[in-house]
Amino acid sequence: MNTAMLLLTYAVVLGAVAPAMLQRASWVERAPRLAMAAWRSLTVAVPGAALLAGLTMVVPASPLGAPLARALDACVMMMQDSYATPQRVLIIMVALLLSVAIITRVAYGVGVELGRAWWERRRHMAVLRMVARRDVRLDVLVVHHRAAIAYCLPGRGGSIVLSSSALSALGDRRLAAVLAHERAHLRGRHHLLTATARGLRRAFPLITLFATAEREIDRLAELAADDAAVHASDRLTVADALLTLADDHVLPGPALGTTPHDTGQRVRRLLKRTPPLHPVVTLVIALLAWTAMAAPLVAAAMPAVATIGVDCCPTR
Amino acid sequence: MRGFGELEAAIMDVMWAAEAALPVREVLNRLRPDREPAFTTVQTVMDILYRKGWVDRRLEGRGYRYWATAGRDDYVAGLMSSALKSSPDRAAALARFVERMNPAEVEELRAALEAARTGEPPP
Repeated sequence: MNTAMLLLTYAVVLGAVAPAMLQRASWVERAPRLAMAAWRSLTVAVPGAALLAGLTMVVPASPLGAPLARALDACVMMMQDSYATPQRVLIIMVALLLSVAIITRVAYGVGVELGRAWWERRRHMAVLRMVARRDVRLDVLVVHHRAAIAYCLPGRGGSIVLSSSALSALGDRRLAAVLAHERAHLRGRHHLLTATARGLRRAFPLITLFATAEREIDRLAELAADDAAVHASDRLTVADALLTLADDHVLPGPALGTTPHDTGQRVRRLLKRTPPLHPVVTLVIALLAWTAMAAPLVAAAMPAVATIGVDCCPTR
Repeated sequence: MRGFGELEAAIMDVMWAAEAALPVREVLNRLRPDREPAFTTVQTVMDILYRKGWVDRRLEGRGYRYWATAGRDDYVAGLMSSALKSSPDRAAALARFVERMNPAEVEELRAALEAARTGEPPP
């Protein structure tokens, strides 16, 4: 019971406090990949802790302890004991519902998003391979179109796609920056991260953590890919490439993305020098991110150990 | 991507360039310069393309004549509009290099870029 309450409190507090802190942290812009890992930790730790809270209530000695406990008669007695009173049964039923709900919601949300993205990409690729020509030297697909556009289709058999007008607008140096950016997306498997974040938001639409995490992971994936592009060329070339492809006056209609200010911020970030994070700071943050995920597991395993030690082997 | 996939694309190129409905024999002739697939292979792939909806056909004499159901430009336009559309669905499926910005902001940032360029030596 105590462990369950502890885990539940952990989930609630972490879910309520950490997103705002992480969103406001200034180091995020300097280490977008690390920040992505931190968001991923949060989105795993919060539902994970809630799930473990439910499970520890259903199985008092926790899954780890149960097989061991079963070997000892005393523990079986104790297990039976904990299911004895009607109040207990009610609490356990609630806990069971909570656990099942979390598992099914996550499976549904993430499953839908991964499946939809996969299907959409497949459909896109089926048409693309008919109409595009492969540029062997650049290893990209080129589509003849007057809008300057560059994107990547992630996943197996994925590719970078450029329109012919993007190719002619960019020139060698900026093109190298664009390709490095897209390759960073493909190499970092950003599509899996973003689709999972989307799936969690779909699973728990009322919890703001997941909406914030989705938005932040989308934004940070772009910053991380920009950094890779800077590595392959230089800051100002990447900024130039961004402006070249953002300034597309060929197509009519409003030039509004889902998050219109993000692009401007990406360019501004590239224009000023941002020193990389100190290695020690990086290490501390990475450790914190891992601890946030590991702590609930440890907490859930503790009572099992304690149960085996104290209750199952009574010293009296 | 190899094998049938490549041949499918090559056949569609022929279909899009064709001025009228073509029999399989003629498609094969137009493929000839750069490849030498068997007649039956082309026939099979044309059948696949028909079932996938890329081409339509009508029986004429002893064989079918095929034509593309839509122009290449129509497909490209469809692809590009789905890639350019800023919707969450699209964002999940493919990662675009940059979203469009309003021209005023582009102007402003261009000026800032030029200022930064003069401020530091070229790499």
